[in-house]
Amino acid sequence: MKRWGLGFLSIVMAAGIATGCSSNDDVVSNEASNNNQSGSSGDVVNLTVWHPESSREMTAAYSEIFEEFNEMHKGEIEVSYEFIPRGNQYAYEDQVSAAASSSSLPDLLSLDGPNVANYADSGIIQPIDGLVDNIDDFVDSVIVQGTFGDELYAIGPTESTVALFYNVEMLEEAGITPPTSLEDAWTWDEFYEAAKTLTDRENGIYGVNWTLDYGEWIIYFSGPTVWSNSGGFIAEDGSTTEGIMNSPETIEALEFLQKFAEEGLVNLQPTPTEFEDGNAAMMLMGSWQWENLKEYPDTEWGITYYPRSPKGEQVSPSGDWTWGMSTNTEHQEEAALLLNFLTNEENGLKLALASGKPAARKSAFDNMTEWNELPLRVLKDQVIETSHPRPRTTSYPVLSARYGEAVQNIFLGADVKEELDRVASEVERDIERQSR
Amino acid sequence: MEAAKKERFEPQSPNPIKMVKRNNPNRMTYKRQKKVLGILFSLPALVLLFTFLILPVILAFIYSFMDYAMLRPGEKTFIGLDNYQRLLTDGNFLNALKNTMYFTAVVVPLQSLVALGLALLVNKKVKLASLGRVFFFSPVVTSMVVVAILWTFLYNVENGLINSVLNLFGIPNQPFLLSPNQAMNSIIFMSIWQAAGFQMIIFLAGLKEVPEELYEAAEIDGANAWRKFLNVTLPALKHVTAFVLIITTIQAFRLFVQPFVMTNGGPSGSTKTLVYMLYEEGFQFRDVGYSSAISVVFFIIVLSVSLIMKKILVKE
Repeated sequence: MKRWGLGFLSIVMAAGIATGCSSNDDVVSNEASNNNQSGSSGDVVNLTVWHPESSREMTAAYSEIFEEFNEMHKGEIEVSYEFIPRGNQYAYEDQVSAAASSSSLPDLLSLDGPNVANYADSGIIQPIDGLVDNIDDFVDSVIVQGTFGDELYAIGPTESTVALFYNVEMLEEAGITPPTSLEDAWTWDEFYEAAKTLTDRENGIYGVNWTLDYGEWIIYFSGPTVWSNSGGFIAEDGSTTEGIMNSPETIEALEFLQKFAEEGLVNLQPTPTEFEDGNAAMMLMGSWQWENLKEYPDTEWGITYYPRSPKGEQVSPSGDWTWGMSTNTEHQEEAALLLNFLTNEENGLKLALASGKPAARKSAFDNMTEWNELPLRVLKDQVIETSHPRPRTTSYPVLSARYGEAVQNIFLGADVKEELDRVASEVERDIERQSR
Repeated sequence: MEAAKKERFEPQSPNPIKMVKRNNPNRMTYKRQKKVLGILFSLPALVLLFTFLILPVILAFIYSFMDYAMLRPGEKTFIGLDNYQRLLTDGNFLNALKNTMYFTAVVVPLQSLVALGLALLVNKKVKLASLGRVFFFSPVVTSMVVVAILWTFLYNVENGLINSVLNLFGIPNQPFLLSPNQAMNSIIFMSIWQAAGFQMIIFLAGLKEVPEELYEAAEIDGANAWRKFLNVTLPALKHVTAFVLIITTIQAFRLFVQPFVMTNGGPSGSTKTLVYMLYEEGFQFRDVGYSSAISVVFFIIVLSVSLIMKKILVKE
């Protein structure tokens, strides 16, 4: 009985192997016939593309653009695109790191502005100097953010900024009139006074809301406060952070923000829609917030400029997701074609409208008439006049993460200087390690 | 494929194994045959185990002696014990080690006790017992990420459910996840709530194995419920308890998801654990060498703690 069982098993196994072989044969023959077909009509180049998952509108717009590109180059180029979940931390970056370490990056990949330096320095994206059409049309901040050393590594269809959104009715009730031109942008004191007036703890209303997630957001939204006060994060050439990250100007800027938390003008654990629900009067948020607010048409919304330090100029953050060409690509020419298609005037406009972000090409702005009037004019003014890129350094991952942690601790009452000293020493150590 | 199968089943075609036996004088003995077949069957599992378990451990060990930036795999260089030296002076590492130890030291006894209590509770032969089992076990089958996000809402300082309940008793809002003194304890509480159901099931299996006669005998001797528990149940559960304690310890050491989702390791690093640090250094900061050194040290710590526990708990 047992022997029979054994024999039966071996037959099953043999049959299994036979099945495996035959299906393998099928695959091979399929490929062969494919090759034959494409051989007769020219080789189809396969391009792979990664972009982080974002809003429904953005995903739809990008899908449309890729499909259109595929249609235009039918039989020549085939783009397969993938939207990768990002979470509120660094999940997308982790995926890129993993792919880079196994040389399996896509031909074109989307990357956040501050990662350009690190990726370029590590040789996972390549220079695209001379490959981009009509480059003078881009706003300066896009070029600055995409440049590492003396070469351009990345270019994107949209820009981004952070401004102060407000609930028109609540401000009117409190008798507060926010500024409508760049020169009149609120100073810190005016901003603070407004937030204080608007806060009504008894009714659970906060003067201002700023999201406190754990990823890139913290340096993005708080950067302008620091720069406006002539503070900074790291030397221009990335050589040192000591005395800059923990300079008196940077400390002063963060002590200003800390005051909001200390006095309860901002909620440290807000619900995701605190501002939309009318439980916060103002909100420091990215330009994309305007699209979200359209889902709340019953309330009138306004936008005003990012507040400036009394000692300095008005500054706004810049740097959006941008496109780079990986060094793993074997189809530089086709990838450049797609890159130009993604960032041309028409598609830049399409993506800008879908995301509610400012366009990266000045010419695209000409067709965004809504952006010439308030409130969206505020965002346009900031992008063109006062935008400031985040630090460009190969130590950016450490800088961004450690600074974000420090700012959170600061909001919870930690000593500003102590926290920034620690960030400085950790970034310094990373700079040292990288230069080894 | 069809053809291949049919051919094999044709009556004329000889059974291959029988044929080997008949014609080959050096044919395998039955025992040997069984051994070869055994190896053949375990081969797929062995290959997978080697590729995804043993090989990474070996590589981590090698990388821990290297300067290896994740984005530059081509530029690895040996730097001897530098990574380990850095570990000893790294405040972040010592902090993470302290936090991990604290979590383990509190969770292991507490969670095991809770699990035992739950098991005794649902072991009763009453109708609601099986409902209780489902109730206590359901958090275990829920994804930890989901549970962590839910508890983040529950722990919210202004609008959280827990604070609303505390307010009813006149207790002011507690900054559960926002205070360096409370964050880790808050995570410990929700972790026990989430995981105790699993240990409960193991204890329950152990309880079912205790012979009913022992209780009857104890009863005849005049033992009350407490004596029965102390002198019958506990000794019978000795092996199960040892298993639960060791498993819980290993799980506790691996704490990552809760602080990752709920606190980002903060505030002030109070919930940063070894595995969190390993992820941070390796993936976020792309320092594979240093991260590997942390993982080797972590491995050694977990291994020695579980060996010591095994020695103490499992005597015979």
